[in-house]
Amino acid sequence: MRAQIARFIERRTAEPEQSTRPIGLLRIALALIILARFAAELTFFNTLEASGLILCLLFFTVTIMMLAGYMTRIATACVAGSLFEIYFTGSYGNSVTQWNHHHVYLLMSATTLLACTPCDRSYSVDRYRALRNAERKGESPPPERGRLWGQRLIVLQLGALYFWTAVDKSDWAFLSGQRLEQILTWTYSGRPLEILLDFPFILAAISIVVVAVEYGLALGIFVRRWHRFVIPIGLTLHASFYVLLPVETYSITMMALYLTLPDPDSLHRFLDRLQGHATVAYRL
Amino acid sequence: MFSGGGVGVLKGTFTLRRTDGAVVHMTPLDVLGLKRYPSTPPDEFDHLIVEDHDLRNFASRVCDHSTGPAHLSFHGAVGTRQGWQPLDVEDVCALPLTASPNPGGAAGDRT
Repeated sequence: MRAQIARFIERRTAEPEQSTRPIGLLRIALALIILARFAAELTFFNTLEASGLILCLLFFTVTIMMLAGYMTRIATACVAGSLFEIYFTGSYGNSVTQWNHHHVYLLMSATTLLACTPCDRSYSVDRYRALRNAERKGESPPPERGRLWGQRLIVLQLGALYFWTAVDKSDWAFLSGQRLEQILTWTYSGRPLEILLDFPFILAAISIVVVAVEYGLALGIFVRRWHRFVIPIGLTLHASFYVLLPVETYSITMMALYLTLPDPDSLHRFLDRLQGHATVAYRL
Repeated sequence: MFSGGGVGVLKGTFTLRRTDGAVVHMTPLDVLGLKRYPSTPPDEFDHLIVEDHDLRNFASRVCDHSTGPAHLSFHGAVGTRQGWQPLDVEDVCALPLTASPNPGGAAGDRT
């Protein structure tokens, strides 16, 4: 009986290994976004103290290691640590502007969760070294597969983010279009799209749609058969934010995190087909 | 997403009554002498209206530089997280001048 219970628990909790290509791509995307966001502020010529110089050197070293995929897990964890330092102190050798904003928090939490994934097994120097090692030993190439509980946590984070941001907007101030009007007053006064402020009913309609879409995404990203609708809608929403509002790296980070939504093995097969490797693709 | 954006922004009209009887209506941007708000994040902008008396700092360019005694009033609303809140001040220049109108980006965070 005890053995049966143990087998039952094992079956229920066993984590199947899946393709690591999506998180490999996500690792590259996040590293580039982090560099684009912070590099200008953490350059050596902005540094006033020697200790700051060391931190800035560390930032560039580990972020580029994360990008290239060299000692990937350690580098990614170090980048996450750097982002913790930036988010919670506003300083990392140099002071960082807008350090306590949502887009920095999102980068920090996503990188932290990424460090919990086998993001070193695809599109990385580590992968290349593993292949070379296997060739030397006459072994078959190591599979690009791993346990992806960290990836599932990223999806959970996306769902929580959509849910709570929708809850935050579920009041009369936002749904009536007033909050959007305030945002656009700041963003577009004296600019061509100021004309939007003349149509408050359109702003109210947009506000309602945004909240409805966010509630929908909070649920929809967990239902795989809805992805054919959910992913384009979500990407369109974030692309709209990106061009219409000063959201910094927020939208592009969210769009990159969508790599965690499709089935990893399906995305792996798609990439094989894309590169014309379908006939030699690994078999599931 | 951008839940704190637009907090502290004004919507309405400033009215300047000069001693010669002339009346000039101005937008908040006119009072600041700007064509548009800066591209910096709002919470780095030191003319957001957190308290009513921040209007005095907002209008300091007009209050401090108009020729002769002037009467400046504002009728409109200020952006808050609860939506537009009515804000009507009959004599803006008589409000106390505060040292720091928006210390540390008091209008809140934003994405």
